[in-house]
Amino acid sequence: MGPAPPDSIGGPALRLRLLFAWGGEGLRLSLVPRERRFYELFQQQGALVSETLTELSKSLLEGRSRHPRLRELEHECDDVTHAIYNLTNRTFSAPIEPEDILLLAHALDEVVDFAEEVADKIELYGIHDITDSAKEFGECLAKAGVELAKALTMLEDFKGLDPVLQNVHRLENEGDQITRVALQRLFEAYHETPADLIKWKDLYALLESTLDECESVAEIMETISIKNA
Amino acid sequence: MTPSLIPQGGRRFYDLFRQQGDLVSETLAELSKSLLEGKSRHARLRDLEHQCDEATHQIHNLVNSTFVTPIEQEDILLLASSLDDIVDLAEETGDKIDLYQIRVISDAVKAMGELLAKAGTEIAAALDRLEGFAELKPHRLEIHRLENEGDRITREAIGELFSKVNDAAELVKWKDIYDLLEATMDACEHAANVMETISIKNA
Repeated sequence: MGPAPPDSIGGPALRLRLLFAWGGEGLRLSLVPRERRFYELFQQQGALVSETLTELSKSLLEGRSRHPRLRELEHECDDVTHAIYNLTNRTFSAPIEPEDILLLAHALDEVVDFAEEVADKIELYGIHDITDSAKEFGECLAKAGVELAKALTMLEDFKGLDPVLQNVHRLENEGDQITRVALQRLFEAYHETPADLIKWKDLYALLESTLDECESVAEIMETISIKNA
Repeated sequence: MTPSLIPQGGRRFYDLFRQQGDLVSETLAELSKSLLEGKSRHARLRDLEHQCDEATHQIHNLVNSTFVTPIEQEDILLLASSLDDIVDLAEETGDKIDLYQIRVISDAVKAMGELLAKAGTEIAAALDRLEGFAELKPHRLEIHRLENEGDRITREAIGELFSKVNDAAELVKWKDIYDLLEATMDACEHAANVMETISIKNA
């Protein structure tokens, strides 16, 4: 892919800088202001988080592994995270403080890593009957993913961000309630074998970690918005 | 006396941190009492957790509306959230004991509770002295010592658990409780480190 024609991105007054980015097909040049590039990459990461959590929720509802697709998404998210890291290293005046950028990119990457791990463990443990609690939790995660993707489109001016992040906090509380009930059921079911107990305890903990990480993302975005207000 | 030189917003930050410190200390004392008595005080713990959430929220809002903060903004936010973490984890421990219907509290859990209550007192004392950026190292060292002692207690308890208990449900429940108690203590140490860093940076 060659450089985009300059007139497609702004007038001559706009200070553009050349930057290199690794694309799928090798080294490519793009002519985009660096700041814009940050926002684009974060939006991309947001879309990946949302897609990952939706895939996970679907796989839980169907009781069918979508682990290969989740692994693919996890790799894609790794690539975007690296692109953000590289851009931070090369940009002198990032629109947001470099450490906040790295923190945010890392937390988003963690969400996807955890989600992939859930799917991986379901396969590894040979779990076929997904509990209602896990299905419910999956739906909660998918909703949180949608909210995070939405929030990441608001990084530029932070307008309307608060209510979106509040939704993430609310979903995290809902998730806590779901796990509470799930654990109660788990220990009440005397027919559970020790192996089943440990497998499900692990899965619920992983699902909770995934949602906790979504909340961390929300907290990091809140801090960034306070600093840049 | 030079009251005019102290920005009003600055005072307010230290007041809120003192409030958070008292909440941390009270929460850990409540948890310890409930463990010693073998009686749930979860309702009270949840109440304290909500109060701490409220204090954390107020600190966030104050950072948001204050132009010049007495301490760097990100340090304020970090300290507030690390204190909030302690209370969250203590509340979760109380909640899990309820949820798992644990009636007989082990000696190790009681001992951990007492160490946590002591750590809470240290944290409240350190936050009380944050305003003058006093030397907070003694508090941090004491909390570090308590954390080491806690590690030793949980280590032994987990060893005993796996050599004596055969029931899978019991194993999983107790392992979870010990992990939570340890995480609560780790959160105390983290908060102590954050406080000391702030005080060194601003001294």
